Amino acid sequence: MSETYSNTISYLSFYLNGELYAFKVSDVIEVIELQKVTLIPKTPPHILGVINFRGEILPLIDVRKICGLKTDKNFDENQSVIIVLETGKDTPENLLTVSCMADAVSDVIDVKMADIMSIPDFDAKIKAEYTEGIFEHNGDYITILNSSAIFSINNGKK
Amino acid sequence: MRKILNIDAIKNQFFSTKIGTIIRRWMVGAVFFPLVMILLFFYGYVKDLMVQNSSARLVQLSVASKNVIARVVNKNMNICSVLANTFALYHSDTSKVNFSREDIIRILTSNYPDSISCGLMGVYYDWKAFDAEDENLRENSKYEKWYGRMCWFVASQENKPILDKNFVFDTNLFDDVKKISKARVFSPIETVVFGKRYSALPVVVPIKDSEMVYGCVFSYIFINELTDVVLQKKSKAYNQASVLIADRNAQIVSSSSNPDFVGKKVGEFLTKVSQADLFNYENRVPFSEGEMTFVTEKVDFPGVSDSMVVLSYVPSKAMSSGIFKKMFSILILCCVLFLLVIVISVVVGQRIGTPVKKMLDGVKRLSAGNLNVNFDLKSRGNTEITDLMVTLEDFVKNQRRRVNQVKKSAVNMNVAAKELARSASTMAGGSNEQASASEQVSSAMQEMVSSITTNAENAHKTEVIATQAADSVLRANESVRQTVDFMKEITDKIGIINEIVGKTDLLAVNAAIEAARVGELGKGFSVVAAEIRKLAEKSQLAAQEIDSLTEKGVKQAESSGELLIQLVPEMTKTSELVHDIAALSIEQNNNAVQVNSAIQQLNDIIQQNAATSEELSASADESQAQAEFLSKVMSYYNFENENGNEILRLTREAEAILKRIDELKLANNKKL
Repeated sequence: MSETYSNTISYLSFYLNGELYAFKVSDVIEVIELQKVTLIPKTPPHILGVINFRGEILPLIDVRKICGLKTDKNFDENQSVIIVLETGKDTPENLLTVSCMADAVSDVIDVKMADIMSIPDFDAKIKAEYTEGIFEHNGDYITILNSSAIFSINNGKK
Repeated sequence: MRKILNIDAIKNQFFSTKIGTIIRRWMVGAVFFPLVMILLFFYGYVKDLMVQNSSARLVQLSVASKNVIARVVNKNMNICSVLANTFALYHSDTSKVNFSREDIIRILTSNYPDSISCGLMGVYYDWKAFDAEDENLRENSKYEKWYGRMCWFVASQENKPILDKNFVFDTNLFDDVKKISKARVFSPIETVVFGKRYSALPVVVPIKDSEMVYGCVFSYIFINELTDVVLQKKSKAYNQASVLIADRNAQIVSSSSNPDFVGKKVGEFLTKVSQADLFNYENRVPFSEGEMTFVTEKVDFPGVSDSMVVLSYVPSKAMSSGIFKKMFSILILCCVLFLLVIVISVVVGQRIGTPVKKMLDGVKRLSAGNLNVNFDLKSRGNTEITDLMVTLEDFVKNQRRRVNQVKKSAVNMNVAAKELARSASTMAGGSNEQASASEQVSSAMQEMVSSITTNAENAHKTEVIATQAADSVLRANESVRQTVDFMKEITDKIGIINEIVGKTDLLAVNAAIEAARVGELGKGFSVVAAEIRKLAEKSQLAAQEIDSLTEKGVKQAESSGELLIQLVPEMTKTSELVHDIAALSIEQNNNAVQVNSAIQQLNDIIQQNAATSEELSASADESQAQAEFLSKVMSYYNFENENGNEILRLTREAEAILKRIDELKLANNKKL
């Protein structure tokens, strides 16, 4: 909705394995502290368990597993946070609320549309279908992740 | 006494008168009368003694006569027994019975060569056998054949005398002999042998075997002969005595001196004694009849009822004859003894008195102090007196030597006393110096005591301070510990701040997200949120700085605490050491006090010593005086010899040397 009012888009940047990634703020509901995770048997490896978010049971997804990133343990667990997201807003049947782990939350950044660049293929750590582009902020390159694409897998329809 | 009675006057005046002369003669008589009385008494006493002695001898004579008779009887019985046994041995062989006279004599003399004294002896044997050989025997027999005082014969059964027609045997006796079976003595019988009348005592021993009596051996003891034997033996005892023997009818059968008595009855000349009294055994007391003194003694024979009496007599006058001669000899003996006593006294007095007098003279000179006494030892014998003289002379020699020694010692003592006095005074001076020195030591000791006391006090104070310091360190350590605690608390609190910062950061993020979602409207709010985030980040930085600072503070505090803790034992040790020093100081103080008191005692003793040495000096003076006195006393003994001169010379030299020493000492002192 914000795109319609200006040519800038807000992104929430966060760290995974020391690299900065970002979700659209419009998809983000809330950033919460790491809380108790309930393990569910016979779930796929990218589902870490379920959490209780204001009385609602949400699956906790490990984005690294989906995006094919290796699990790097070099981070401070005290700074680990859970990002609660709402995807598939455009289609009501695809509406889905999920949560995912992030090593740390960085910032809310307003990015001009023009600044967003497409990701060169040769440099892709993540499959192109899970990304929407890349932008530069304060000397760092932040990869924008496509939450609908990532979490639709979770939906089981793909 | 003499004056009161005036004896001289009585002598001169009274005895010169006639009546006085008469009285004087009486008085002389009064002296001789007791002497005469004593002599008379002595005479009576001696006479009594002689009579008693004679009576005793008369009794002895009677008893001896009796014993002679008994012995002869015994001997004859023994001989007869021997003969009888010999016959009995040969009885079985009748051919050997025919003993010749020589055989029998040989048997008798070989057994009893000198035993048969008087009497007859015969064998009355196997009368039937003898009948056959009667004639032969009769022809060969000669009755003048005597052997000594013994003869033998054989009697036939018819009791006829073979050897002497006049020898008549008592027929009853032979009847008795046939009946007897053991040896016995018969009553005396009257018989006539060779025309002489005898009173004979028959002793008979049977010849027998176990069945019958064959004959007997018999012996007649002629009692008449016995009196001769008795008197012969006793003649030395009493030569004037006579013995009569009377038979059981009190008829005299034997008389030693007067044959006229024989055949007379005792009663004819003894009227005082009855026949019954004569045979009284107890009557041994001599008695007088006419001019004679008699003693009777009864003689009994074993197995015979008849007795005989031995009658000894002596003329009564003979009992006390020769008395004057005896008395005179006693008086002579007394005189001789008296003279002997006088001679012995004179000799002994000479031998004892002279040396004793010499010794007395010597001892008198000794008592006067003259030790030059020499005893004349010419008349030396080996008696206690001469031993005493020798010992006394030795004693005087020893005494001389000892007095000499004492004199020398007195001189030496004098010198020594002077030396002693000098030493004593020197010692007194030394004692005074000692006393002053000891007082100095004492005062030094007191100073030392006071300094030790100060030391002890200081040590005590130091100890208190050290203890306080140790306490303070402990308290400081406690404070450090508390500081560390506080710092740790601060660290905890910083954690809370960190948490708050984290949450604030998150809240800021969420606020930013919310603001972003709102879009243009939320722009201002997003700025606020960003500011909040910045503040949170600053807070976090500050907290981190505080944290690191606190950690450093804690480390510093802990290290300082450790250092303090290390300090505590050292402080404690210091305190203990100081405490020890204080204790030692107190002990030292006590010791010093003791030393001081000991020095005080020493001082007292030194003072006493000084006093004593002064006393000693006085004593030395006194002993010097005593030595001089002793010399003076010893000079009482005088004896001239070279030793005395030598002593005098030595004394003078010693005094001169002493004087010289004194002078030298004085000179020395002046120089000093």
